[in-house]
Amino acid sequence: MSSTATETAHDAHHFHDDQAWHLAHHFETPHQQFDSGKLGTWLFLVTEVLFFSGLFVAYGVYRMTRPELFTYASGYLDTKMGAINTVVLIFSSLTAAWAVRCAQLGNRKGLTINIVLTLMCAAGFMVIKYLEYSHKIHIGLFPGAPAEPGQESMWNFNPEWAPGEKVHFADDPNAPALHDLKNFFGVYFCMTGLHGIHVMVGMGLWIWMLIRNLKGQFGPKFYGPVDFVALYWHIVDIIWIFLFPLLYLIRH
Amino acid sequence: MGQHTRELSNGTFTYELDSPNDSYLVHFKGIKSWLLTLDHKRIAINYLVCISIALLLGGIYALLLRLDLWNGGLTATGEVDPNQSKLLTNDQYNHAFTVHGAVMTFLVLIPGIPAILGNFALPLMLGAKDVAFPRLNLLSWYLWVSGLICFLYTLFMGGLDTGWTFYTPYSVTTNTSVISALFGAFMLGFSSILTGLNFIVTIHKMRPAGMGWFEMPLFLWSLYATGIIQLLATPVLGITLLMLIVERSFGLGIFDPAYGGDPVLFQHFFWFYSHPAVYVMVLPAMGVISELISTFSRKPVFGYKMIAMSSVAIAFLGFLVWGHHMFTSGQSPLMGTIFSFITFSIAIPSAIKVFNWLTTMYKGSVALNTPMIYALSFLGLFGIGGLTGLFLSTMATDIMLHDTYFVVAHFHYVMVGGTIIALLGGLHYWWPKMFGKSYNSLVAKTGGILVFIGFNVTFFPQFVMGSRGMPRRYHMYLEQFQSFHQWSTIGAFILGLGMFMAAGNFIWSLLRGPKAPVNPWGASTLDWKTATPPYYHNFDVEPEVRPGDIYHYDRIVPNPEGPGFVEKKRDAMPAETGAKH
Amino acid sequence: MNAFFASSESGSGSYWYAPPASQVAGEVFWLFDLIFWISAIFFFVIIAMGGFMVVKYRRRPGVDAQKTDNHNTALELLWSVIPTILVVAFFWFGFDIYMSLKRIPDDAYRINVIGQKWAWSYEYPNGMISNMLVVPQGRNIELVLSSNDVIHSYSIPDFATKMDAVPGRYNRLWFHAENVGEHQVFCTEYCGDGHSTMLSRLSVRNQAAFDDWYETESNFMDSETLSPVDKGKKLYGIHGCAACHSLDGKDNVAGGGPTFKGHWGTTRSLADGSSVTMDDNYVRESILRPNAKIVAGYPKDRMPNFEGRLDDREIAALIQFIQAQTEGK
Repeated sequence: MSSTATETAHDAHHFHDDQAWHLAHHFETPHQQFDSGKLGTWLFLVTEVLFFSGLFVAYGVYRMTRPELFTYASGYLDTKMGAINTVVLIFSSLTAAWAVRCAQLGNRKGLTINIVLTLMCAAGFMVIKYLEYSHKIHIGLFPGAPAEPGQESMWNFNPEWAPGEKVHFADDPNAPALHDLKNFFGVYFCMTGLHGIHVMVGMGLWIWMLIRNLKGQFGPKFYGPVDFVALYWHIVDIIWIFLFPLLYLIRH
Repeated sequence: MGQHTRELSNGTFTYELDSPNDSYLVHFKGIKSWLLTLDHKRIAINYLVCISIALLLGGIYALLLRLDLWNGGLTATGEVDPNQSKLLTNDQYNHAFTVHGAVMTFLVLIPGIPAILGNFALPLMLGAKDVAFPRLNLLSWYLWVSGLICFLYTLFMGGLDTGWTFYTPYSVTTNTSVISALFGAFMLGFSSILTGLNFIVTIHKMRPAGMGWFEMPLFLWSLYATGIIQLLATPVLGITLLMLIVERSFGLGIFDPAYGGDPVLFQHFFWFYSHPAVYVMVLPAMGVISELISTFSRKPVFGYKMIAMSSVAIAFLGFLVWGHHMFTSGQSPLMGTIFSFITFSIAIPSAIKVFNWLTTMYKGSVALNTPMIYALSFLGLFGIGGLTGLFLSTMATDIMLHDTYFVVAHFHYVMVGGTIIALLGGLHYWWPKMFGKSYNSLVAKTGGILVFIGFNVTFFPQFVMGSRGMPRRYHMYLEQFQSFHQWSTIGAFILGLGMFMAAGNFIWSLLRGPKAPVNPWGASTLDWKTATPPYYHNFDVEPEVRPGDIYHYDRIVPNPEGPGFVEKKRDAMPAETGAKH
Repeated sequence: MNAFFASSESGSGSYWYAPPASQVAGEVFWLFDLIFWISAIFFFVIIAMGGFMVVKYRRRPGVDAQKTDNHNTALELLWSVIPTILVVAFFWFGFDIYMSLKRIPDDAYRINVIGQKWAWSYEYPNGMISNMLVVPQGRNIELVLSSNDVIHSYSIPDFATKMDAVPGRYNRLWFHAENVGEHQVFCTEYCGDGHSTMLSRLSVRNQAAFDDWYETESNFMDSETLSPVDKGKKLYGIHGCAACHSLDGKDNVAGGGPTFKGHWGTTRSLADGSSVTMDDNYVRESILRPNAKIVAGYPKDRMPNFEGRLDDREIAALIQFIQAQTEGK
């Protein structure tokens, strides 16, 4: 924390207060710094919502044009798994909010416990997601690079691989054309995949917060980063809360 | 080295700063100190260097295209004419116009003014030490560089022939290197988002005590409005490009009609970003012009509030007009009508700005310095660009002109005549502050006038061929368009010459230029109150600003002892303190 | 209403456009002129104001700027309201004329237009396919546009109309062919290599000439005066082969098609290393299953599949035509 002639000297001001070194040189007060961080985070969350909005619009447009396809294809999703994941994520939002409270109160141990709980929920979510994806891949409802354009090879769905899941397409008068499922599952994989990536990014952020907490960096006067990561975590949660009914709960 | 004390809410702190009298250019040394800098001014210089390289790349491609179009290659009825030689093949031409468009749009026009001039001037204009998030600022520069690398990778790995618009299904079926280009554009989008976010937070949270919202320089208002668009529109581009990447690599049927997808949906997504992106390019340019015209007329900006609010209005309305790119795509007449109507409403704030700028000069003291030459040519060129927009927002005439050279000419008048001219004007304006060196003003003015002439010779004939039916993105063309194309090619080289003169002059100024005064133009904003070039920490003493200081020139008088202007001390009881706009 | 305004302009071209070929086109060009002149006046005002300010108030030693009002509500309202009125007028005229471009008359003669890299083909009511658009004079013509691959756009500048051909949907445009004449058609949506040569001619003929053409074209396969080679030549034009396969002996490797001249009977080496003799069986297979045997160096998936689109008689005629290109029969 000495003033050296390098770029990292930005933070290197000698303050008497034990946490005031967190005040970056270009801010006047810790309050101004916290407010800026908070506004920045909220603006970032706005961009996140708009980032997903493209997929929601695509979903809306195609569901409007092909409602029967969507309700039919949704039957291939496992509602039980989706519901468990929803509960897991909502619980993790609670622990995230609790973590912020612990940071504000200077409760280092509580902060550690809550971050670890949040991380475990996130990992659990990803494991369940993995199980769902691998099942889809197993029954061939997964897109792959086309071997020959015009061929159906990337959508070699074979109903016999999934006995008991659905009646055979050929036997079901209501079944849409086989390759039309692609439209729904294209949207499904894009939405849940992008959401999954966000969960993994969130896990990375929580691990970072955990390390910083173990170094004792957070306290009543400096808890901004925990607050901001928790905000991000809530938005990831909220997006899932929209994805779950839109994808899993639309069957007849 | 000195001891500084600061009063903070939770106590008084003493801290040390390195000698504040160092200029930011030399305070730290070595290439690493530039690559890892968190200083907004240095990041601005990094952007300046990189964007200039991208501009050169895009410009070389432009000249190549124009050379190739000297001959049309077809007879009047569309037969191949063996007597007319072409420089490029169809395929090479398609690659060239795609690279030109993609590089110019994503690497030059969108980041251009905010990243170079905004980064440099915004904290200075606020009397602040830096932007709110310096690390994020550096990150967005690195994202920009990654975008450039992706584009260069694309160039060497099979190129790109989709046009910068990436329309499906063509972009899904072509065998060129689309994914790397999409990924590059994706990262450039994030670079743009982070810059916008940074600027908005900085303007909100770091204004000095004496500067209310309506006492900010108009350049900041325009960057604020730009930031809103960058934040709200760019993520949609991001997700669109991502969907296209996934569609191309895994064959998801989102935009593929064979699987119930809709290629027109891609166009909706794409233009939901790319139309507001036009305002990301033009609004900061308008902000620069407001600064230039006020400074060089020594007059407060006429109708300040109207100009500030019209920036916000344009940013808002810009979100609602994307459908005017699709009047011929088969969207319903009702949608076309709505989009046409909202598009027209953008003409009003734009017209207000132009007339307010003109009136600002009234009874002023108008100096034709180089930046002002660019500002005036902006008024003329942007005027033509805006007025020809009327033809395109009118549905019936848009059907006639859509995807012809009329559109090409229109958006070049707006993008080059607006953004690039303002970028050049702004660079000539802030250059002495950035580097502490003056440039040769005769060469600079000649360059500016050549750019103006060359630009008009290049693009005006394109209006005529467009309205006569010449489609855009045509490598071969019918004989009857040849004379227009040849004028256009001649103009492009004059334009190029003008740009090279400006660039050469800048390089000369770095090497040999005389030392620049602190306030060479007599500007009133805070960015001119720091040293030239600025201190590493921007301000030795935090500058005092009172309502009514910005855009008032009474106390800024010609330096009696040398070039430039100096500021007189305030009167004992300043009468204008209370005078608000 | 617009017909009234347009009547003075209808029928004559200007520096900015060719003579309009229909009444609607005349109205569009009239609106173009209206916006043009109002814009020109505005532009003149901007330049005159700017020039006046710069000259009159140029910086002079000892003379500083004078204090003036920083804003003037009346003035600012003035230059907000006048442009508003003008653009509302433009919008209205644009909307009105646009609707006449969109509203397809019930009695229109319908022709299907199929865009495909990089040629247009036209399907007439009796199923006849032509590579040239011939329409009867004095009729309303409706074109139903579709595309077999990427997006194209059908543009007829003389009729001031244009519409995209989007795969997976049908777009329509119509025009009224008033006078006999020839008009240029462009593809205006970028579609790749041959985009700039995806041109077509629109020929308006009087009813008798049209009927005559229609009759001959519809039945050319049954014609007794045409040799199979001539029939093959017509098929070569109709089905857009010319877009990739030249007859001048120049291979179009990047564009995807070998020339039809000079290869007949020669041994061609294929992409997979084997080779094949170019004879009637090979040509037949390549027409029906283009990806089966691709000559080394040429891209895959470039040629459309003609299975079901050509019957045996037509394929035979095409084969004879291709053979004739080399052997000069």
